[in-house]
Amino acid sequence: MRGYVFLLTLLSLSLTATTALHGQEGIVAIKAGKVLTLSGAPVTNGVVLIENGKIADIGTGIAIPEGASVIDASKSVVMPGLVDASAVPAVRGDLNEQSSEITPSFRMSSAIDPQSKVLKRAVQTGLTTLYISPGRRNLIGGLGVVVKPAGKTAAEMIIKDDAALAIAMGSSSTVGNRTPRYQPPTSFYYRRPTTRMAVAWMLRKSFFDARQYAASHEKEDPDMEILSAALKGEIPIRVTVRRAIDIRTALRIADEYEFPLVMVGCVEGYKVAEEIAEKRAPVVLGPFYYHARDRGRYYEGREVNWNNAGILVKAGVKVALASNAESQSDDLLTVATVAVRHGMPRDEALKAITLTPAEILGVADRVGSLEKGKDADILILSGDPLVPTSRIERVLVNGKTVYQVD
Amino acid sequence: MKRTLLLIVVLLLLVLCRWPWAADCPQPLAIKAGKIWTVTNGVIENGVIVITNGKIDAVGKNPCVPEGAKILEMPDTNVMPGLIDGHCHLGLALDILAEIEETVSAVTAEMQILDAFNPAADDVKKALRSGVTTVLLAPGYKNPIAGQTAIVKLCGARTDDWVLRRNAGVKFSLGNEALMSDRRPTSRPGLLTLIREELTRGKNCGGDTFDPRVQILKRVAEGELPVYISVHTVDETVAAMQIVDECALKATLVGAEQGDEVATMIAERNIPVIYAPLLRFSKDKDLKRVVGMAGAGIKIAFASTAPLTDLRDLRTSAIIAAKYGLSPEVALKSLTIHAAEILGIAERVGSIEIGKDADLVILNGSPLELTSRVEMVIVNGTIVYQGEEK
Repeated sequence: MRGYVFLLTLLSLSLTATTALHGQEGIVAIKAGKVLTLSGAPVTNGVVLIENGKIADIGTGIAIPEGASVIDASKSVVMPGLVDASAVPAVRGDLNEQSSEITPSFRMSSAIDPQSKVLKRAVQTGLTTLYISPGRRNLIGGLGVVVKPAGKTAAEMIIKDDAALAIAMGSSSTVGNRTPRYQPPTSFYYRRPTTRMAVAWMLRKSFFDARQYAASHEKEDPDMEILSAALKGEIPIRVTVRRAIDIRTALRIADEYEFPLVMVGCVEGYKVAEEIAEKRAPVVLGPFYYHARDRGRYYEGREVNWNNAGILVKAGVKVALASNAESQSDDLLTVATVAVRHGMPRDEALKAITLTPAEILGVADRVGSLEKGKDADILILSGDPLVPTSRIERVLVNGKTVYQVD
Repeated sequence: MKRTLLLIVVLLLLVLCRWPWAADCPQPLAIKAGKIWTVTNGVIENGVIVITNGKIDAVGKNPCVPEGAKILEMPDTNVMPGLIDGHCHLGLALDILAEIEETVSAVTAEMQILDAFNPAADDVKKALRSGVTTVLLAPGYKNPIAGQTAIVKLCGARTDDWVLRRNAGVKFSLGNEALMSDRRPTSRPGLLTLIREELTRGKNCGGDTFDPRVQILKRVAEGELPVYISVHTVDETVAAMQIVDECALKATLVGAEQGDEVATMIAERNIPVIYAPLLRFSKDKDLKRVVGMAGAGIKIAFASTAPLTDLRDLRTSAIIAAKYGLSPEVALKSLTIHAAEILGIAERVGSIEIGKDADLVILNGSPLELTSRVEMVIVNGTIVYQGEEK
């Protein structure tokens, strides 16, 4: 009996090995019942042709070349891999260098752990592109990175380094900082900011300093280099805000220093939807908890409003749905389903987990939709993606199968 | 033929000119009230206030009411201008009250209180219900130079609607709250030295400084930006006046619970006082002190310092002061026009005059009776609170 099992395992192993090898070298063709390209109209009974990890062609009536390995998904739905614009971090160690408050040159790419279990789960939930952000303990946390959950080393995974500068407003960055009282200020946590006033001031001061630096001829300070590049718009600025008041402050400071910003979190975004739309700031919503009351730690963000996405979209805001680094809400298909239930248009919801986050992250030339020339990051589902009973059957990253149900 | 064409063109022009005006302009409002306390022009019995575009368009016995105006017939009511709170911390207690205290360092002139203000907070709505329509928001008491104040109206959906002054002056604190055991200053002499040092730095800096904190202190030292100095005892009040003398500051005293002891000194310097009686912590007899200060010729406004105290205390303070001898006229002015003058916003609010913002409080009795209740509050011509029907 044991020998039988062993043989079977060996057989299945060799089978997967051969298909993987085959796909790597040659051409892969997916026969799809339905293709949701997201950039154009859906294609019924079409073929997706993959060459060298890129999409070579999509459509009906495409001849499948000889020697191509064929994936039969004729009863399934094919769509682009999901993009999480603020993913659960697949890193080792602390998400912030906590010894100081402003750390623009802190690079998340140096902390990526290719063996992280987070990546495995990401693939199983359909994620093929992840933005990994520095934590929220520091006011200016550092630089985030866009990765794919496939590759042996960090370098293989990264598709865009220095993808955005992370700023945390509201009480996120004040938590843990203390004012000196009853004892000498020996810990490095005795520091600003401890209030919203100081959060706003320290941001203004940092940008002010960056402007001064840019105007001078010094070229030595790596932190200032990054801040001034961000002010010039070379690195996008992502601000984590939850309350309406912090959203307003963020928009005001962005106005004062004339930089475009992406807003992350935005739990109370629906209260100031029109102001956000006017400033054309894209929004990365999340996390969406199913049991918000349990989130004592995130006191500020407990008021999770599922209508938020729908209201913001109606006001004309570009909305992406993300897990925002919370593993409880990293099943983006379900998040999108519930957002549709609460007023988000279906097309917008599908884009909000694929093309829109790709655009916000600046990687839409490679991922986010199924188009000729883009990376072959593909989901194959047993049914419509926004139906809870649909199951992810297969996930391809760069044309290679990285997950498959038996 | 030509004439008809001309007529059409003229008509078209008229329509074009008129159309955007008609679209932007909300329906005019006329309030017919039993008594109108204009504050600056006495009381009008059975008068009418006409509001267009959020401003007061006409006041009087029988002004011309525009066609199509919405008319509120309230013959039994008293109308007064919206109350002005000279010093408070409304909408700043989000998760913790410490939002107003950034105490890591003692001098934080660069902090702006507006960055911490939440216009949708519950205590803001409570304030509106008690008739307060304009407030000075201030940082706390634990820093000698605490930050920049702001003057806001307590209503309006968008930021531009409710901000009257983004930087209305700098808050100083000379009370013992500003002392700490583990950062400078720890003593009263240290506190005064620190403030003098900072003001000197501001005064002596050249025009080309890049440090925003020094820039603010420079504007303070040059008398361009007003300062609001929080003091409690006699010695603090005197120390404040010494600093004002030395540095020629444009100052207002806040608190000044014992100000009557040195009332002549304050009056000589023409320094107004925003009196914060802190009713919850003191006896109502303490309001006698306002009478002494007003008698010496000091311009008085009241402060609630809410949410440290209850906001209903604002009108109550004036009423109790009147009970101890403050003339009713001055009591009423201290809640409205005097407060507006002290804060430098009298061209917008503080009285019922043509051209001013239509911020009105409608009560079922005299404003200076404890039994009178606020029935309706109007800010910028919009009804923002309406009490239940009797």
